[in-house]
Amino acid sequence: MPMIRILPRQEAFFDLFEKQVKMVNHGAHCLAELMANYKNVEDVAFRLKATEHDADEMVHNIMKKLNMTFVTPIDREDIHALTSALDDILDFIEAAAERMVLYEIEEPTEAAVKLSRILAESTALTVEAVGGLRDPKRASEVRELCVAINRLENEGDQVNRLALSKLFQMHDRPIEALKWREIYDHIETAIDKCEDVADILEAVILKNA
Amino acid sequence: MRRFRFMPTEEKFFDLFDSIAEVLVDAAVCLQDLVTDYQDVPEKVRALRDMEKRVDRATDGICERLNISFVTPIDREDIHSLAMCMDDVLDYIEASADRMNLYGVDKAREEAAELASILVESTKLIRTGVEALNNFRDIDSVLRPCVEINKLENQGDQVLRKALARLFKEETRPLEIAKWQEIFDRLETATDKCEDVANVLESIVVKNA
Repeated sequence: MPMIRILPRQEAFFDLFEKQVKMVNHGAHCLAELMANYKNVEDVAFRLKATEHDADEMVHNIMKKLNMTFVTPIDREDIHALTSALDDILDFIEAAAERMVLYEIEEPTEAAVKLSRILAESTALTVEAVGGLRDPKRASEVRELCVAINRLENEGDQVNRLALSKLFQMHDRPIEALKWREIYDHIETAIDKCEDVADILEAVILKNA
Repeated sequence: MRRFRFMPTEEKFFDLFDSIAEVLVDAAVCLQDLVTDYQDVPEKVRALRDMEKRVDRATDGICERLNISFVTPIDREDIHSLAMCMDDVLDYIEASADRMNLYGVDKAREEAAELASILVESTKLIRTGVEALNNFRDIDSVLRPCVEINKLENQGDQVLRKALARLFKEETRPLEIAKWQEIFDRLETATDKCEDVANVLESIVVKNA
């Protein structure tokens, strides 16, 4: 009777997840906005750092709640995995913004704009998917969202590969290439982590089907 | 009486984990020695490779025993992921030392020593956590080192940022930058992997609480 496991009083976990994923999405949009409209870089990086910090706190709360809760709406290890994976996304978003400051980047590349836009799309879908988790009737919708997240991950891969090949052809500015390679890698990893979240959601749905 | 599930009905698993944890500490100490006293590099790297092989064998042993054991003290998948994560820590420690050797680095940069000392501390905490799981008394004795490992990972992040900032500011040879970018990345990933071990430990005790 998996339906019964989703007890109303356990809704708090879903609330926490939703809050966490919204923070992640907010972070991704800040990064995309920064790349599209390169202003106040240090401010944005600083704010993202604060968001990451708040999100860490969130993970801590979820874990604490997990320690005190006897019956959880979804399996304990899935709660743990989900919150950790969401946390990872934000870590990489924050790292990407931080590198822009650190490496004194003057202007984002086209690929950075594109990658961060894909990331923001992916986190927006992740918000939807996580939001649908509490309602078993939305299982197929969540599954579709997961497929879409996977597709974006492939797209991100393509963009990154093309960008890298272009990057290493600009022989005149090798150090710039090294900086960008790292930044692309962070954004691309953030997109990968969205896929990890999608995989966990799919597994949870399958388990509770 | 879930608590008794920690008790070694199959003591050997935990003994194997204890001995892996011991090798992780040895490896971190060896790495620290390499970067603080940068000579006899090939010998030190070889010693690390031997340790890595030993841990590989131990993880194989765990997986083998997992296949023949009917009752395991903790869930199979947790035993498996704990073994894999611990193995990862050593892989990254070994890989960073190996790259220094491979790339003919003639002098270790300062921040490598800082990261190595974080790794020494983290691996010691892993040892404490694994021992606490083996002689299980209370959940906190496992969780406490995990919290510390998390803090050290954040510190590792800070050191990495500082290291990269200085690298790009002071180094003018692009190849040197590329080499150290990779070495620092591996060192920092090793601290991330310690955090993964902490996460698995956390999830084991949370699940069985």
